[in-house]
Amino acid sequence: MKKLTIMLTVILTVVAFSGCDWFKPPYTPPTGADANVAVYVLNSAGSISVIDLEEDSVYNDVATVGTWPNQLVYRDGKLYCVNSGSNNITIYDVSTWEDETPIALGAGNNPMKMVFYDDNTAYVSCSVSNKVLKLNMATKTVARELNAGVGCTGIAIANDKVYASNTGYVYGSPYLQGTVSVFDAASGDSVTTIDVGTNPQDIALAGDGKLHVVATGDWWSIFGTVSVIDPETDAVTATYPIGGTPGSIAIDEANGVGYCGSWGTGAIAYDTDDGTVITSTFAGHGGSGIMFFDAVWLSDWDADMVFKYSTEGTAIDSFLVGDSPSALAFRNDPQD
Amino acid sequence: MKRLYSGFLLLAALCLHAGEGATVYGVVLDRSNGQPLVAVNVLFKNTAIGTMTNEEGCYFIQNIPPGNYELITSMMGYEHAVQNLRLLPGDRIKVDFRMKQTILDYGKNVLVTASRTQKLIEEIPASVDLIDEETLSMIDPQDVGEALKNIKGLMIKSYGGLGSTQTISLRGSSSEQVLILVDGQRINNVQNGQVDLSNLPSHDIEKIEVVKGASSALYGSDAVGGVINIITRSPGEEDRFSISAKGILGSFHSRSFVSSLNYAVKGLAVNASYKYLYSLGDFDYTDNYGTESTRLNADIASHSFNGGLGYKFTRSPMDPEIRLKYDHYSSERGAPGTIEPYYYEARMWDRSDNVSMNFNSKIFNPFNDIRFTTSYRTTWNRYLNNEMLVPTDNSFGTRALNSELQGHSVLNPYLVLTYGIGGQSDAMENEQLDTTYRRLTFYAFVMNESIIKFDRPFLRSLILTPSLRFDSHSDFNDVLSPKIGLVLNFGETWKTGIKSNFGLSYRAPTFNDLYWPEDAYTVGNPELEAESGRDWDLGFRLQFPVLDGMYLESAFFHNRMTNLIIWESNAGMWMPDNVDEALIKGLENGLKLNILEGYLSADINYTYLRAINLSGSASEYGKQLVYRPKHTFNFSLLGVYRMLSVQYGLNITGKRYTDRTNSEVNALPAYAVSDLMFLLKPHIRDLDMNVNFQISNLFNAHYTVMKNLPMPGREYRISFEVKFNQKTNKRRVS
Repeated sequence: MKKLTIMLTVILTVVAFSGCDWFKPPYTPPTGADANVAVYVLNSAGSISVIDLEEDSVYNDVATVGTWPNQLVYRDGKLYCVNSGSNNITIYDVSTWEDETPIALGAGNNPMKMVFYDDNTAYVSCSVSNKVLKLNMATKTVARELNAGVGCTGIAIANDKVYASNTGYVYGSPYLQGTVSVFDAASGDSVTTIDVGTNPQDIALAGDGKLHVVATGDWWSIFGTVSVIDPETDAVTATYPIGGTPGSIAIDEANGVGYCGSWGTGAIAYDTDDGTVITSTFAGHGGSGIMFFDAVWLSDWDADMVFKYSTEGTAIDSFLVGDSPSALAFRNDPQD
Repeated sequence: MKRLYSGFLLLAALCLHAGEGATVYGVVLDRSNGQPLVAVNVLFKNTAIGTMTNEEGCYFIQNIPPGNYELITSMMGYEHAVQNLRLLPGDRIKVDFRMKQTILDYGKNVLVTASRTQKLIEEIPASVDLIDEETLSMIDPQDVGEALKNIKGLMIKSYGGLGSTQTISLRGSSSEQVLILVDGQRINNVQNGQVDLSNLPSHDIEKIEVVKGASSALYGSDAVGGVINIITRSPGEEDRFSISAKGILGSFHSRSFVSSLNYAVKGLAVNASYKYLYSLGDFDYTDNYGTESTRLNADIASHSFNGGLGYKFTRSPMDPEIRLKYDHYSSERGAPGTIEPYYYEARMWDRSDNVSMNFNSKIFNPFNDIRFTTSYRTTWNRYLNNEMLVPTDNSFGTRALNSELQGHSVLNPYLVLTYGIGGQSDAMENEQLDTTYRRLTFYAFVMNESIIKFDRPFLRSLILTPSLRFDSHSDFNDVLSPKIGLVLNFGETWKTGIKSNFGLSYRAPTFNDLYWPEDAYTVGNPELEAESGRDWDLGFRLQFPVLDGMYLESAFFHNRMTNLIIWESNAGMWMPDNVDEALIKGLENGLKLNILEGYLSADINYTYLRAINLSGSASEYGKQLVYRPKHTFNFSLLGVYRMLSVQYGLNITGKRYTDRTNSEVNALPAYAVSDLMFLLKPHIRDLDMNVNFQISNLFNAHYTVMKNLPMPGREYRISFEVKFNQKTNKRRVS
């Protein structure tokens, strides 16, 4: 009887213990990750790191993101993450790192990037549904679906118009003509479509108000180009054959230099005025993500590092971040 | 036979005058049937004087110094027999033994996988676990994954409910580093190295043996974490006729039907079984944002058929036997993927067919066995998904032809050899690319088992088992895999055993690794080499008479893996390379308690696992490998009263990381899942019945084993089986 009593006590303890809440402890983000001047790092494995530029420290694992995260956008104290696999946008308060209800974009869209038009309106490019979604950020709903081209990926706003690059990627076939779909930013109505280079992936706004569309090319048969679009006329004013296989773009407006991230080899730097390639091996490593914020910031997927480079190509600083960093964003709200 | 026996005795008598010491001779028989027993150890206790019985069950020992002795006979599956003797110079004494079978323990404790021949658990250096027919009857699994879920050191990676993909990790290995055998034939897919356990129905399984630790020295590639051998039912040896039918109903619109037939008479035996399974799999879950949803497109419909034909040449003294088997499995299922992204229309089809032939016989004399096996296995898989960025409609087919000749020779107690040669041809076809990839493997292996029996109160026996295997592959490097195992058995009442192993193992690069066709982002690497493992373990087991029997087992394992294949990006192209290293070590602990003999027993298992990445970036180095829990705990309590058995099971799996930097935000929390099972086994004349009722996930825990792949909540299942079982011939054919 005594044996049975002992056994039953053990069993009941174990069963009770199996229902305890400690199996799911609430996650507490690291304290201090509320920097006013910071670089935010999106790690593909599903987390966000914060590089505090005021304290020169790194906070990893401050938040979890959705599946197949693609892009981070900072705006007014909030960080937005576009998740392709989750088909949503997750939102975080960068002071507390509490997350808000995500914006559900609907299955089958595969959102790639977003851009804000104003406080209440944002646009999202979707590469599977070939659409641009107009979002009502006040209600966090999709206000309108706009038909773009095949493989809609990059997105930017200039001259009250939305520009979305279409890679033309169709599985098992050569790339279609790369295009940029143009929409009226206020209404969402289609304006025109512009032909650019093969496989256009990203768009950035240069200091002169023109859009630079970086096209990766067809990897080993067609090499990278940058198409310059004048938003006034919606015409391509120049095409720069920068070479390589660039996939992202950041522009140093002050010095007129464009940096096109090229996976594994850093970046290709070119003169935004005439397309002259300054160097095709800027940094020489990294390039999964690129950003210009007082310096050139590069993420290195393999090394799990983010590097800060001077415009001359000298490494200034490096930061160990989360698993597989792929995109960057910054906040610059210094407190007096 | 009588003439031979008489001749042997005459020869023995003639030889008696040869020495000055004493001579002892005799015959060893089975007590139950009077048959002579072959290869029985006959040993004078506390001496090195001994021999083995010959094919007539006779032994003969001469030149024994005068003195008082205990003469002991021992053989696997039989109780020891002892005779006290006082020997004087020139004595000639005949001592016969009639040994008693330990039938009940024999079946439960005899394993074949660890040494390729039948061995008792206490004689095997490797850590082993066994799921026998009794356990299978209790847990009534729908597939092999369900059957294996409570084995210590083993983790089933479930991608969802019934019918979802299930892969395996053993002692912290990847799923490609576990060799899965069905009746000794490897079934790891050459395309990706894995086995989806949900495609292996359980209705035809007799037992499952789990051998942990490096086993490439006997089985070649992929046996890094260990080997799992699924042994299916063979055509029966006993003259019987049986027919059974079983129906299963369960939650989430699941239903299943199983039928089987067995007939055996005069050495000829046939068996056949069929299983149909359907499940809608529409369980409720909570998504990552707290929304209640229903798992859609998670249905499965499968058919499996198993047939066998066996014949035993009962009149031949060499005991030859031939068996033919055919297995078929086909299924169609939804492939919803993760909940982010969710695929509502993706489908998957699987089909496999396997034909095998097995011939066993003694050769030359009863001390030599040969076994020839040949098998041909085809698999086909189609995955259709138009909801992805890259629409996919891929079909892959594999073909594997294996032939092997194995010998087993008992030369003396110190030289018990198991050896063999074999070859395997693997091919994979991709219908879309119209491409066929091939691999040829030739191998040879040898293992020796030296058994030194002391039969002293403290040290009973020492068993040393060195083994070596050479594999030559047509598409990657040749590999030599040595291993040595040691067993020390102590004590009589408090039986203790110490086991240790050291061995090298390897995993073959898969066809995906080697030949992935070049596209814009990825390309295979035909220069890849095999992954390597250097493994050692040290364990003990202790059996002692506390309560009504207590069995404690513990093993420390350590495996350093190098050349691990990882897909890396290189200037935008993803390509596999032999770059990673890992160190896996841990402690497995098991306690079996027989609380009230025949009524109440308990199993408690705990595994600590440290699986460390020794490569990658600074933020990855030294971190726990993904999906390897540090702590796993299993508990089960079984109560039996007459026809009714009740079992409660609890599995607690610790936190798992899902990325290489071990970020806490992406870690999956620990979970605890309880199951409750009832089994009623009424018996009426020639009718055996099984009524099984299960509640899985008793407390309705919300959990995931793999990220974004929810598991079902509380699940009910009831099954009813009726079996007609009758002897076809009153006289047993032997």
